[in-house]
Amino acid sequence: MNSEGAGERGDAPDTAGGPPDDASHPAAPAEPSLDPGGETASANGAQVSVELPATVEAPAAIAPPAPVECWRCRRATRAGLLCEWCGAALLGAAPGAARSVGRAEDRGVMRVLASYAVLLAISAAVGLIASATESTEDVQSLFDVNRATLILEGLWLFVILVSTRFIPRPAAVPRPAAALRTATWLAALPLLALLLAANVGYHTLLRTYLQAEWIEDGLRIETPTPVVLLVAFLTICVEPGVVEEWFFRFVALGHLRGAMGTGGAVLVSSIMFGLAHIYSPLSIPILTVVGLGFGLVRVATGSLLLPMLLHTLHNAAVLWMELRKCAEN
Amino acid sequence: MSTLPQGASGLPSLGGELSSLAQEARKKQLRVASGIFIAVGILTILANAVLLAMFDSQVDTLLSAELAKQGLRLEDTDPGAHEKARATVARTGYLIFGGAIAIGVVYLVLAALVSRKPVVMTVTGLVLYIASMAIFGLLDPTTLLRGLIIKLLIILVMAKAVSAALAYERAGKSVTA
Repeated sequence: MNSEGAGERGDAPDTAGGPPDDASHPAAPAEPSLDPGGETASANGAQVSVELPATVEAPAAIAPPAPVECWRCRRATRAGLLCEWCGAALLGAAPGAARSVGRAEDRGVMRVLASYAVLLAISAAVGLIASATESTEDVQSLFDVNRATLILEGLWLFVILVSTRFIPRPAAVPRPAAALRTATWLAALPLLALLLAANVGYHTLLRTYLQAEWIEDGLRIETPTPVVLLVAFLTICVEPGVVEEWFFRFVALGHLRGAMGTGGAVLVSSIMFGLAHIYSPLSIPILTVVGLGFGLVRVATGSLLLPMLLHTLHNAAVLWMELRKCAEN
Repeated sequence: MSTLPQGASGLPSLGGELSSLAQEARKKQLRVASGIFIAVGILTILANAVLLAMFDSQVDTLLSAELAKQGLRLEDTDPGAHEKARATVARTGYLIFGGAIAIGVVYLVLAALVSRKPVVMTVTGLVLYIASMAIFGLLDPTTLLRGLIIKLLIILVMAKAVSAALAYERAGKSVTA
């Protein structure tokens, strides 16, 4: 372990650099039996007290360490202090360490849920302020739907950035086989088309049932100047595509996966994603399905890039359709 | 404990006993969570079924209130447009209350499955409860303050159940490993 430990081991007989193995030398009465932890042992009838570190590393030249599975990223890595892929401490072999690792994972899940509750509270508060000010025309001009969206997204970004300080980094999703990753990238556009079709179809059905032209307060752009469109694109497409994917598909899915497995984590993070859109409650079922699609893509590629792209493109398509509706009206 | 576990030193069996006691305590917490899910589920179904049954008679009152807010009277509006608006409001109400009843049913399903998949069910239950509080608070802000202490207690119990479920499943995994 260290030079001091080696010095103490100098009292012990030379075992050709091999690991001290009491079980392999049961009949060696002349040698003091080495008892880690400073227990007294008998040597030639005399009591000898030897203090040794609890674990003694095997020199790599004699017995190369077998690869172990990292508890966090689940990849095979050389046994050592840290995982060579994700840098996680490889202390899982010791029961106490495993317990503390498990507790750290539990803390991660609880903090994800706490952050999620804060996000919902913010959405509810902004929604309440928006609807409260909607009735008075003079205030409506100051706090309309678009401003509410801007403020909500800004607050979400702030909370998610702050939460990164308190939520530990989740375990990496294992990288799937190259064939699956390639197939997912190739199927991305058809999948996006499918999700969009489901979204549009669901809202068409809803409109038909409700006999309403508009399902909810959507976008209201009276004069679509380039600057307004750019701001709308950034706040409605890019920012949610990056920030929401980061929170739901990286932080939440990562922590939940450690606690409930990949399938459960994808499902629960999708439910969280759908329910986060509380300002359009009638759209929650279809948004949960869309979230499920993004979650599956995240797991199938092992990367956040494709879900982020798909989310941004999905929102851009919805924005374009809303703009067309605005132009028609 | 009136009797100590038997064993050469007693310590290993005592450890096993303690660990099974801890698992029992977690199981008890999960049973409490299951009871909460059943209670919340039944209450949600009953309350929203009553609201749904009463809603049809309230639609006209709601529409008149909305018109009054805009400085209009019922007689001033086009009958066709009024009828369409009435249908839209009524159907939106049916969807919202129907959705709430569906959430109540989901709670009952979560209660039934909590012993099989503790973490998934407790986390889903907690997420659903907080989100439905926020959604119904957004639709009607007075619901946020109604029974606030009981709601906070339910959230606390559910959060404890999530924590117990995490420890329970982890301990189960370490036994099977």
